Amino acid sequence: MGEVIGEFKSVTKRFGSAVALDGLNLKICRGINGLIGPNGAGKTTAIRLSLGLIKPDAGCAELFGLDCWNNSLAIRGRVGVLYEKLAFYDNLSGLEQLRLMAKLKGASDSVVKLRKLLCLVELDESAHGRRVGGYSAGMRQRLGLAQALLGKPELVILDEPTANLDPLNRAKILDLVVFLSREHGISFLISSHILPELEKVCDNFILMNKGKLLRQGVLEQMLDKSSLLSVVKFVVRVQPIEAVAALLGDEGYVEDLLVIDDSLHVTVKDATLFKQRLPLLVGQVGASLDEVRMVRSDLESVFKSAVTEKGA
Amino acid sequence: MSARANLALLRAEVGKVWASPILEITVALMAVMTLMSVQPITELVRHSDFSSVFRSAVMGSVSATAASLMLPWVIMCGVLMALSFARDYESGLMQSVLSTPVSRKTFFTVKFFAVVLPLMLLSWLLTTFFVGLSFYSDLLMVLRFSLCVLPVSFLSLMFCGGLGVLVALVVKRTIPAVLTSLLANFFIWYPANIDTEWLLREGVGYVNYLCLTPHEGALVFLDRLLGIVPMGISQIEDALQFTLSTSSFAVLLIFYACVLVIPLFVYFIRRFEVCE
Repeated sequence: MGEVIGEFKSVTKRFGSAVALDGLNLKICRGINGLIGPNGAGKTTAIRLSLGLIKPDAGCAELFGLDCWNNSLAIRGRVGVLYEKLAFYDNLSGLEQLRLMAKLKGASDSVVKLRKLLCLVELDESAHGRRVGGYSAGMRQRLGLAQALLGKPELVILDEPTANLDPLNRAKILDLVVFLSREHGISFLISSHILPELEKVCDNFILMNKGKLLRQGVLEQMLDKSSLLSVVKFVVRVQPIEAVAALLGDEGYVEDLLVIDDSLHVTVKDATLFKQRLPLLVGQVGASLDEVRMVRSDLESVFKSAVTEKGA
Repeated sequence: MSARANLALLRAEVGKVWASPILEITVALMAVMTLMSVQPITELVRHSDFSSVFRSAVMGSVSATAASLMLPWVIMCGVLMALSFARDYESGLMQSVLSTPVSRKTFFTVKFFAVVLPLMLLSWLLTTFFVGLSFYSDLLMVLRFSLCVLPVSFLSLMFCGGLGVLVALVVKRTIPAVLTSLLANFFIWYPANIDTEWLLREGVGYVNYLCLTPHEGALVFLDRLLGIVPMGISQIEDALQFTLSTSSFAVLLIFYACVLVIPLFVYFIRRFEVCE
């Protein structure tokens, strides 16, 4: 993990009887941070809290060493944000909207610079002068992203930044995020449900569920933890395949079993036990074991196993 | 935040709140309501050798014009304020703007005055215009009316606006907030529609206190500023609206102007949570 620029210390937030954040502890690091969790995990509440839009009931949230509620103005000057729910002054044109936001952020409102920024997020030049109310969802998304990048922020928070974009444009936006992070040193906190995309771009991951932190770290750390704690997949090449498959099917630790071509795809709850039992089973039917390979789990499987763990 | 940024935000807010057809509807509503109270009495006013009582009655129609105009401005102020706050909250625009370095003080003030100031200007222009239509031969009186109606409409709009904000911050949903604000403002305006002098002469006791309500109080204050005295005052001269001084009504109106707006302002900047 890189340098810590933000930290939540035992933050609790309730809305009536619903607990949105339950003693949340997390760290936002320099670089690209992926914030993941199922719906209702408290991701958006955490984002709002970090911008001083809501006040924690207990605990402390800090960005750049400043308390998020008491120093929200100073923090908002250093942070750009794109919310999932996009809202603009619909009677203004895209360029006017961006100019207004530039003035509010104390950034340069030079038309040339703003047009460049709109082009950077690939908003057609013909759309710059059109009313935002007439924009498509994708165009609004791009305008929102341009708005978030105004005034060279130190941290950009993106809540579902690729939600309204096609796969091609999603890739472009993520490339832009990587470029801005590597070349301009801008840190990002990206909340998204499209995990394979996050896996490609993020340096650090924060996995939340039910208002709590489940795991945090770089991808390798997340995957290691996953392989120790939960479901693991193996590909086994064995002859004759049917006899071994029948025996494995009766083993209690086997979650799922598929025969694909000449391989067995086995999902197990206990990898150690599987590794001990497999040679015995193969020997029992006089089969020959050609290959056993563990399939590397991905962020999606980490996510699934973590949120379905007991008590998670 | 710089004054330039504040002005840019105010301009954007005014443009949003008063976007077509809101401006057209407001002007039409005010014009229709006031047109009904325009009376062809110019010639009567010019011949001021009529008895002072009769002149007073004629002057009373000025007050009636203001009362007619009050309904649209009261309703529109409450509705637009609720619409402005609740819609921005619901759509996420409040969240977007408050995620920039705009202070909550600035945001509240800009949003509030983006409704109140244009509405005050409109009500002032339209009342002056329509009173001028009826009394064009007495320009001094029109000018006096024009000057007096400005602070009265401002204080009255502050109260209606405060009520609209209160409803919006509690309800937080656009349509319910607009309807609630409309009804609340209508019922608070209603006493201003009652002919209190006539009811007082008839001996209806509670009417004595109607002059303490926000809008009836505003009309009595306007009458006092214009020097309008209703007919037959000797029969009801111990009524509150005649025994209380003009400055008491001024204080009452200032109290109403502040009673909702100041606590709401403090609540908004200290405690209000944007979580839509």
